[in-house]
Amino acid sequence: MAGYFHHNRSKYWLERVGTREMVGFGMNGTPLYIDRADFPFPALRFKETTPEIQALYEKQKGDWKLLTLDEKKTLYRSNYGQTFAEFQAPASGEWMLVIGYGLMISSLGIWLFIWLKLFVIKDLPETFKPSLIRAQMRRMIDLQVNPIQGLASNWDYEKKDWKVKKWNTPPNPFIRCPDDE
Amino acid sequence: MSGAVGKANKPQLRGLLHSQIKVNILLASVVAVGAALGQYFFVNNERKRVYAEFYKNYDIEKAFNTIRNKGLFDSCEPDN
Repeated sequence: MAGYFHHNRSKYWLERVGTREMVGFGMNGTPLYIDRADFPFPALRFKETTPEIQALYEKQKGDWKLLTLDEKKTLYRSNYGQTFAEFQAPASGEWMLVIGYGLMISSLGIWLFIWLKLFVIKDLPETFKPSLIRAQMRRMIDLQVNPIQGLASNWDYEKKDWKVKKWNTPPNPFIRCPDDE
Repeated sequence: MSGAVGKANKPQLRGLLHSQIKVNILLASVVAVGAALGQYFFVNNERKRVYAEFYKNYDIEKAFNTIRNKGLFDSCEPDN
């Protein structure tokens, strides 16, 4: 392995390098091949050196204008696995992964809430029953709570009903219902 | 025919952040003044008008007696 002498020669790395030529320190000091945009100098050539490629390397030591376009492409592909455009391209169909993971994590959240509702949260107090909510509303209207811009300002005391009925006004609490005691 | 018609304007090459900040300050002051005017007219004056309307013909003794006779006060009895 001519070229650069890498000092990390553990069995682990030599098994993985094989006969590929080491050409530099690499991004972390190990003889690792990786395509990275922020450190585009891998420690190895991508492909093993064949005699044809070796001839090209000799030619490359001369004037680069003498290299044809195909020779330049062969040199690139023997040194690098993917071009910048190839490894920086978004993975096709990645949006499906994103949506899938998002929904899976949301479902975990929903499982958590199911467990909470079954085993942790106690029953609502008695005052949330509809008959008692109506009783509280009657008391608030009788006390003229917030009579200028708030609750009692929307209640018509002559008509005994709400002044304007919209989609979110509660029903008239003074009407007797079967569950009132 | 090749070539542009007339002379192209030279784009601004320096002081881009400066001009952006000038525009931002102008826009921010206009929006702040608008928000203050909105608050003054549509909240403060409106509220003063609504309160004045309410208290113009408000009989507090009648209201007090209505609530008292329903038995809702702790310190006064209803008359019956």
